[in-house]
Amino acid sequence: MIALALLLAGAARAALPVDIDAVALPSDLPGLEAAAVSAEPAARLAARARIAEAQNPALAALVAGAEPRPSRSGAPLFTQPALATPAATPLLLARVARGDDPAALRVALLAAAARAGGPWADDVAWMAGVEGDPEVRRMLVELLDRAPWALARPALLRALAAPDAGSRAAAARSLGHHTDGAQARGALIGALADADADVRAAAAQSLGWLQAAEAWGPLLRALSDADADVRLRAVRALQRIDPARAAAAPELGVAAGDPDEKVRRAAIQVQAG
Amino acid sequence: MTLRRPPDRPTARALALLLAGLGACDPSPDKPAGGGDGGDGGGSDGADTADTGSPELVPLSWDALPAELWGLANLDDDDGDGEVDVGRAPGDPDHEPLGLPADLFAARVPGEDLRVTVSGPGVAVWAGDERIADEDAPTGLVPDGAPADSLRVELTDFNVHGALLIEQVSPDGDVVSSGSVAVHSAPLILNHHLQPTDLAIANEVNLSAWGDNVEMMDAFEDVFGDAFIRADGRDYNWDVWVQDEQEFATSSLPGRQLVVTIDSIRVNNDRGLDKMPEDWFLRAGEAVGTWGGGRATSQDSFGNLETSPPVTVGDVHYPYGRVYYGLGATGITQVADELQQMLEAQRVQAPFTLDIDWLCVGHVDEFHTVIPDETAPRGFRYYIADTGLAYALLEGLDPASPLPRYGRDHGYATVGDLLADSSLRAWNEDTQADDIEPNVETFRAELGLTDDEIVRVPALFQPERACNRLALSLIPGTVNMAVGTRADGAPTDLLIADPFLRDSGAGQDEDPLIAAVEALLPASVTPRWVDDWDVYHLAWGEVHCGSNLRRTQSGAWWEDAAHLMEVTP
Repeated sequence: MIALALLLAGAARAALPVDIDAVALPSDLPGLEAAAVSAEPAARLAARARIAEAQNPALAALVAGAEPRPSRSGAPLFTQPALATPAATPLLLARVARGDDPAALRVALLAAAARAGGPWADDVAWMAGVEGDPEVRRMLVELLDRAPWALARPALLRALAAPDAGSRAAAARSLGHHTDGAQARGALIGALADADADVRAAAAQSLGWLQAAEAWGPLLRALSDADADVRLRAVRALQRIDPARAAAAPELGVAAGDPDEKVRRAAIQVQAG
Repeated sequence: MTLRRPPDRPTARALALLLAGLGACDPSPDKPAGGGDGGDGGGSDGADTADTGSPELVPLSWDALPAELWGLANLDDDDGDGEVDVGRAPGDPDHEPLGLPADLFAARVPGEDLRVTVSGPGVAVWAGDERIADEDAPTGLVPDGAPADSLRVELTDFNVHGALLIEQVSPDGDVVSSGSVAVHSAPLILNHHLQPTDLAIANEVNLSAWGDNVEMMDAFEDVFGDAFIRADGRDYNWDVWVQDEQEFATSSLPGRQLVVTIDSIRVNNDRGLDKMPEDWFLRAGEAVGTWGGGRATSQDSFGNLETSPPVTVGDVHYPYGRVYYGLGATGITQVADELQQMLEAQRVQAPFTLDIDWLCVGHVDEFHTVIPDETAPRGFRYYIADTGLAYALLEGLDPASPLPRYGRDHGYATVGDLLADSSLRAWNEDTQADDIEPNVETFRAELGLTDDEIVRVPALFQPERACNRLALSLIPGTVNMAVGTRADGAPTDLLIADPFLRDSGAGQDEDPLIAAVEALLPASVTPRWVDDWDVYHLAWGEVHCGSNLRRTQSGAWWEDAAHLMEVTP
């Protein structure tokens, strides 16, 4: 797509440390089906893609050749209705794993995979831990908010300790959106002390959504954070955890005079009950 | 074509000083100068010009020069070559004549020069087919033999205020006589929703891969008839974001009007609509201009640039409304400086900004619109997205109600699925409280909106994973609509995204959100619900984003907006 040429400019970078096309796979269907549920993640993804390709060559060709369309903001999207089928999921994930596309396009392929609705959680959880591109890794972590907790938990906790702030912030957000995210309250409270403001803000917001009462003290301290968004999220989190207690907290009185308009406005609202 | 403007314009006082300087006929302290102090801002300075020792050289009379000259920016295409005329069209009818008699220069002697100097940006002078002075080369000479009535002024931008000095210079270099003119161009005024629609445009696409917008095109054609341009998507590389490419405006003087299309710099990002403004809106009397350059942000799109209806805020009346646009706090959510400076410099519509950092696309049309309503205090109401109302609506529905479109594309197969997502609800509550409401407060402060002028509309956003969890419409944004106002008092046509909050077999008359929104609309509108799901909604936009309506501007800014201007005709 010419319109995306600028956005997608630049060589694709090596994505995963494993070349899924080089993975040795059985040639027979039973063997492939066994590999598709195995514990070896690269073989699992490769086998799923091979099976999908054999079952629906037309769909495989469609996924392989699919071009994005530009969203209103210019970001690439794969919104083709033909891709919105569970059968497309392993094919889309395999294309992401191959890493032949630029990062923005691989992010869009991941969004399409999530929309397709097929089995993706175990593959995404594995890829989130080994993906080399930070933007693609961030998107993989974001997707884990809908993965079963047993898969999501280790991947998200690992991401919350990742070297790159993008992954850590994505993990903090995903935990807040996950139905079982409250089980990671301790890690999120720790993230309130992260060096990156986006991570701290995401952690504060998630702790509020998860109504993590044990985060009360750290959230009160976050009202003094240097970053206004962190302070805003902390105000809202305290309100969600205990509105009456938040309204009476002296720290909210201080926040009601915050130099940032949004923080000030939120604090005054909380105080007013 | 990119026009550049310096950030600062001369004030009235500065202009007076400028004219005084130009018209003083005092080129150097050690030379006897011609008389006239130029302090009246223009006209002849030659009557009392001193003798220069050239007895055959007769000082010219500049009495025919007007004190002020007003014109329209020459950004249209009178010669029909597909290019904006400015700077490159000798004999252009938009070059403003100075009104000098043709034979004024007939008695020129050998060695005598007629020197022309322009000051201020946006002013150029032509002598017949030759551009002899402009802001890059402010001083030039009238060619020998050029008749005086061949001198014309070209204005290259809107609301420019400059000056022109013509000096008769003897062979010895002395200024024998001079005349000066204050030069002005009319401001650019953006359209608002109370103005009647005179033209609509959208881009038809019909691709098996993405779906088609034929139903939406048909709806526009049905509403606007021959005034609808059904552009062919193949001509524009399937770029459907017609709202974002162009913004319509006018520039007027008594008895004259230029219809103007502001052409977005989003084309610099290789977007397909690059030539749409030139293809459809560049001709004699219809201008196209671009402000800014380099790589565009999403905020440089014109779904992010809107204008209020006429308002009075405090003691200040804005008869053409106020311009506003979304501006972010980060470097990637900025609007081109040149465009901001141009909008600010027009003065008539005093721009203000909204917060769009919470939105994925980041355009102000994503959370509000303005609908004409004769029953409203000032003839309009602001319709604002409200997530709380959406949840209230959903809670009144059967949780088992199937939502097939949401199931396929958003992961929520039923009403119950939507309601069960507690983090989605919490996120929407935060979005309403901390992002939308502060913008409503800005509307109240900057437009003087009252509670009676604000209508809340059920809306639901989603945190888009591919966009760092910034907001996108989950339910198609109904406020992101096209508002087709009529001149004859006929009902206003609203083209609104069908929300499809219903089962696949159900009709629009069974859609609870359609019913809820229609209950909020005034009786003077005709809503039309169009399917924009595949082509627009899934690509992060709605009906308004995919269309554009031009409107008829009437009124006399030099009369009703004079209090906002430094100078008027």
